[in-house]
Amino acid sequence: MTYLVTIVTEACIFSIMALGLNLIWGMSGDFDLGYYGYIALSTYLTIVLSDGPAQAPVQYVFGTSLPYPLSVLIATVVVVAVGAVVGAVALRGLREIYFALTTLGAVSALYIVVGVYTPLFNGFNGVSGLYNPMGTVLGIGYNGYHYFLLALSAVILVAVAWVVQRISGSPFGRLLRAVRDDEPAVAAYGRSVFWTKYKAYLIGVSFSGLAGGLFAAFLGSFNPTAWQPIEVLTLYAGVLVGGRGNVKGVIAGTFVVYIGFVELTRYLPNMPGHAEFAPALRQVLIGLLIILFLRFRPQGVFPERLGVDVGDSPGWATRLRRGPRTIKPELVGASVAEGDR
Amino acid sequence: MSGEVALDVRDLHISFGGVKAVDGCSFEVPAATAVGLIGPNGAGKSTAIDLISGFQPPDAGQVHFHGTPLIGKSPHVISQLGLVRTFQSPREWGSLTVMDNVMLGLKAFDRERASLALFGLGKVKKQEDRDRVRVRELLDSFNLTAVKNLPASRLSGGQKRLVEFARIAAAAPRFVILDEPMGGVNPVLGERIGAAIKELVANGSTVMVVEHNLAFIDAVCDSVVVMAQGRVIAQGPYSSLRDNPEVVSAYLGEMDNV
Amino acid sequence: MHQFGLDVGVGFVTAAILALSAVAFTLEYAVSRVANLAHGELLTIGAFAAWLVQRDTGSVILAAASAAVIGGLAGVATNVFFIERFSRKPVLVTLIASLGLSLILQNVLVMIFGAATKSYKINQGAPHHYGPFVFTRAELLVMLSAVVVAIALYGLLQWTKFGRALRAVAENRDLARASGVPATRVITLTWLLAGVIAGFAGFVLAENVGAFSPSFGNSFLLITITATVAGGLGRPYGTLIGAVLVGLALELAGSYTNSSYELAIAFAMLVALMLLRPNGLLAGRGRLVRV
Repeated sequence: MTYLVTIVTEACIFSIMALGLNLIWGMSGDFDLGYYGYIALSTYLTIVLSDGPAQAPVQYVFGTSLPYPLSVLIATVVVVAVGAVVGAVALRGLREIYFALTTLGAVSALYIVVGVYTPLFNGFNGVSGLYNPMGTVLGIGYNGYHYFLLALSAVILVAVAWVVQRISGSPFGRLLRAVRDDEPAVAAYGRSVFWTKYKAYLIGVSFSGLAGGLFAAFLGSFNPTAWQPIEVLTLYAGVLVGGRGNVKGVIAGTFVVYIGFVELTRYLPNMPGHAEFAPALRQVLIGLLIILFLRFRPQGVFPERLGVDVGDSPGWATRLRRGPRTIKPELVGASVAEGDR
Repeated sequence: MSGEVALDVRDLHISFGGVKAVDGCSFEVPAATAVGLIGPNGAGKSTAIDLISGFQPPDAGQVHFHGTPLIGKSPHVISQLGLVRTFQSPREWGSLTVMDNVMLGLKAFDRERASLALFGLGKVKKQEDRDRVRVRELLDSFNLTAVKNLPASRLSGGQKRLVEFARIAAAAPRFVILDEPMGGVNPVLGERIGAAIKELVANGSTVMVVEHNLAFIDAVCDSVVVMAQGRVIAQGPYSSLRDNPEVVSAYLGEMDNV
Repeated sequence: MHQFGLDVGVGFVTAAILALSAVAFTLEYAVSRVANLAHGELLTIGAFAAWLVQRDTGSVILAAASAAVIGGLAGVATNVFFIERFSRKPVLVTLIASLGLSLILQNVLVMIFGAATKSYKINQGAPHHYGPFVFTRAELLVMLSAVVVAIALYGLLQWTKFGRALRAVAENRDLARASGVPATRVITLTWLLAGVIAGFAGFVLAENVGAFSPSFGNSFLLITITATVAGGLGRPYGTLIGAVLVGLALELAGSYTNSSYELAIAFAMLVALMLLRPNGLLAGRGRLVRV
């Protein structure tokens, strides 16, 4: 039972990250390969803000023993500030592959600096010590803690999903998709492509801050072996498989990819003396998933849903109904039949 | 409105990699008229459009739009001032419905604030619904009602052009630059486009049409600006150009539909 | 001062290896218009092939040759089974997919050979002084091979029919095809060439570093891209110059700070290049207008 709770909790946390990517890439079209950097930064910060001062030989910054919710909040704010700088610089003039490579370069540099420069987050050994945060305050014992974390993660996931869903159905969301499809046309009609992308970027980065905070509570400790920039591909796989732009699809895709692969590799025979076989196979499958979906089903299992206009005579009170998953010709015929010439 | 100059282009220059694409281009467009911009291939017409609309900074020159200088401003700022341009190929937003494509043409910038997506969405949607009525009429006038809920990527080339015009009509700009609107368009559709242009002018907008189809220019435009080799070589009513030796030699054989 | 000579000397060796890897990458980009993020794996596969052959035959020459041959085959396979299948898709899609391919190739190697670093030691020869520089015989050969490849490539591109066809396809594939150039064949042969060079680069890198692993080609990828971008994506001669500049800059920077930061410096250079000179150091600022 504990195992199930753990898996679902982690899937919830990854789904929050995936929703952030959904805003940045799924709806806005910016292929950010550095996203895991924000997550890692937030996780590190949450831990070092909540921990007490560093005891030699361990070194890290802060160590301010703040209450956990405050640490998460500050970590998120810091991460959004970093994102604001990165976004301002990278989104201004870089698009597509240049943006992807720049973010990859930036996060790779961050990875090395974090691992080598020990005064920051204790270098390669990493930081630890975040043990069941808020547990004593709320009177939750060791046995019940994982239920609490599951509930907390689920609640934040629902809140984040609500935000993304609202954005998706709003004029702002429509503008984001237009920017994704054709930028010059958007500029020709009076909207600033940069500012539109920038806002979406900041919101998406803020989700990584929250997810990082939860991740810190989930793991309790963090070091460079716990994260590699390339793991962002697993998140992209979830978004791609589920359906980019579709909130429920993204969550479903992330759950399937994460839980499915964890379960799959659990039951695989492990080669004796070859401990890396199962994890490597998992990565191979993720890579295959990405390639196959990009080639044959780039819209994902649950494609983006278009809002359909159903009112048809002038002066009528209008309604915008959430359309079906794909616009089938017969459905278009149906709305035409509703009294037009 | 009569006599006012909508667009005043002065001495634009730009070179790319040593090649002078626009070499001292100057012309004026009077308000509430339709003006054609013609010239042989490579004359610099599209580049001049990019310079005027802000998509490319010039090396030198100035552009005034109803008195406001444009050079140095971003494309979206210029568009907000009232100058909208199209591109040589239809640039529809493929994953949006036709309806959404035209809705995005409306000058409803404040509704697109991110904060409104979370708080106040209900009020925004009511405002949108009011505009939706007008947009439906627009779509109807362009015969697009049947496809209004299709993703724009599924339309034919001609339908995409119509969506562009519906979008322009929704934006109701003071000035529209049409970059080769007749590309790949059949004559019936061409008439519809011509009528749309005339309607824009009748409503007070100024239209500049870059085109190779000279018969279309003759039918629709009040006057014509001729560019060759990055410069304006003639300006005036279309009929006067046929006798202009510079214009004839610039085209040299291209003017078979005169 | 002697230290400076040593650093630059090492820089030349790095630059030579970088040049090989980068010119192959740029050839791939030139004909297929995609940044192949699985390019590092061509080096890795070459290194593995060389290592296996050397282990069984003891011959360095056979090892180098097999690295080139297997690399070439891998290049062709990448093009035929992967790149061409994505040719109708947007460039960004192919980029993401190539990341997936990289993931697959690296981990298949892990599954077969394990993730551990393998040592690859061959006789380097004694170091000799050449003016202010110090090189071993192996290092000299590495630099020589890079120069030979550069010259051969120049000759190929300028004077052979294939070279002209390659340049035509790189310029405009459809136009080339319409002019009678067998574009598909040219592209496949270019990937063969790129794979040969990249596979050989993998062998050279492995024996120069003395060790390799399934991920070592991928860790060389970003530096390769930095060199390519510095010289201009898709421009072979520029890439060669870019490789020299980046190789030297890396070594000099690495000698003034902790050498563990070397990769981070390379990545910082990549970011700076992307922001300031995306068209290469040799081109102008580019006239991109920010929308």
